[in-house]
Amino acid sequence: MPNLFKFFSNNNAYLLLLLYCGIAGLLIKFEEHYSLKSLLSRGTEVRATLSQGLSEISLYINLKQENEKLTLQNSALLADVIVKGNALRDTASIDRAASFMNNAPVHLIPARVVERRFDTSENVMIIDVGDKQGIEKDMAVLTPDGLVGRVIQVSRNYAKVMPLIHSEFSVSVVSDSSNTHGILRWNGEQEQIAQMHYVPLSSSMYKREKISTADFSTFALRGIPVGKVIEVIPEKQFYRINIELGVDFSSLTHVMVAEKTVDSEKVDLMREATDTGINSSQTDQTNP
Amino acid sequence: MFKHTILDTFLLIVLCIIQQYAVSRLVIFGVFPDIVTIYIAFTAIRYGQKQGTTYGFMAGIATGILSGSIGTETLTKTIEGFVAGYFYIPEDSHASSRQKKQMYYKGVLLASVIGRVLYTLMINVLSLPTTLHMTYSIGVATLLTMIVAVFAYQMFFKKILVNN
Repeated sequence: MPNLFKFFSNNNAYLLLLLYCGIAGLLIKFEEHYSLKSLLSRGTEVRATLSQGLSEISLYINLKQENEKLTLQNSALLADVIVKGNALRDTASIDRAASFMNNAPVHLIPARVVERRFDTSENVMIIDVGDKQGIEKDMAVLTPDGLVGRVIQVSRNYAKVMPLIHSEFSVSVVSDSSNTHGILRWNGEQEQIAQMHYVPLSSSMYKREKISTADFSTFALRGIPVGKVIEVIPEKQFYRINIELGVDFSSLTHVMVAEKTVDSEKVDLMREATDTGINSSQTDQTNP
Repeated sequence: MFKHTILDTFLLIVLCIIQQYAVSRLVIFGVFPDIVTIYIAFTAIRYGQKQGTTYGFMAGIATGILSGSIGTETLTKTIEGFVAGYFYIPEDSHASSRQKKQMYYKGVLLASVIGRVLYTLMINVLSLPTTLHMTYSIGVATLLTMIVAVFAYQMFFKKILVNN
C-alpha cells in the first residue's frame, strides 16, 4: 500500500493527464449523446449571441464606409436613371416629331437642340442642322406642341434660333374662335407666359381660346399653334392678353424646322411699309 | 493561491472567448494564432505540470463548448498543458531571465506544435490531408502563435516570469 501511495505521489501529473484524457475520450465518444448535445447547443446559442453582438459593433464601426459605399452606388444608379430617362424622353420626342412630320402639310427638317442659353432676355438656342441640310435664315422652328422660334443665323452644320421667349421676338398670331389678330411678344418675365399686343378693345377675346400663327407672319406658316389665352386685361386702347405657351422650353430637346413658304416679295413689301412708317400696329421692327 | 487560481481561470475563459470570436477571424494564409495555447503554456511554466494540465483541461472544455467539438479540444489542450509543464520554472529557481525566456518560448513552441498536430489528426481523421498540407498548416499556425507569444512575453509575461 505505501508503495501504491508513493507511486501516485511520484506520478500524479501522469495520472492527472490520464484522468483528463480519459474524460476527453469519453466526451469524444459521447459527443452525440443527448445531454452533451444539449450542452453544446447552449454553447452554440452563447456563441451566436456573442457573434451577433460583435457583428453589430462591427457594423457600427463600418457605418461610415458603408454609407460611402451606398452613396457611390446611389450616384451610379442616379447616373443610370438619368441616361435611361434621357434616352426614353428622346425616343418619345422623336416618335412624336416623326408622327407630326408625316402628317404636316409642309416639309419639316428634324433637328436636335445642341446648346441653349436662357437668361432673362437673351435666350438663344443652337440646333444641329445648318446650311448643308437646307436651313435658311428666317425659317420657323416648331414642335408638335407649337412654335419654338425662328432661325436667325445659319452655319454649315448648325443654326442659331431665336426662341419665342426672346425680348426681340415677335410674331403675328390669331385666335381660333374669335379670329382676333395681334402680335405676340415675350416680356422677359415668366418663361411660359407671353403677351399678345395690339388687340383692340372692340375685339372679343375669351379665356382658353387657342392662339396660332397668322397669315400675316413673315416667317411662320399659318396655323402653327402657339398657346392659349389665360388672362384678358383691358387697357386704355387695347387688351393686354397673357398667353400660356404650348412649348415647354425647359425640356426642349428635339425640334423641326419648317421650310420657307412665305413669299419673299411679301416680306420685302412689308419691310418697305415699315420703313415708310405706314405700318404702325400690326407689324413690328423684327418682321413678325 | 486561491485568488490566483480564480483570476487565472477567469482570464482563461476570457481568452477562450477572445480566441473564438476575435483571433479566429484573423486568418492569415488559411490559419490563425492560438492565444489559449500561449496562456496554457505560460501557466504550466509558471505553476507546474499538474496545474498546466488542469488549466489545459478547463480551457479545452470552455473552447469545446464554444466551438462545438468539446472532446477534441479538451484532449488537445490538456496535452498542451502537460507538455508545456516540462519547462516548469520553480519559484526558487536560480535561472536567469534569459533562461526563463528560453523556457517560455520552448514551452509555447512544443505545446503549439503538439496541439496542432493532434488537432489536425483528430479533426481530419477520416480525410487526412496531404503531408505537405499538414506540415504547412501546422508550421504556419505555430509560427503565428510564436509571433503572438513574443508580443505577449514582452508586454505581460516577462515581468511576471522574471519576478517569479
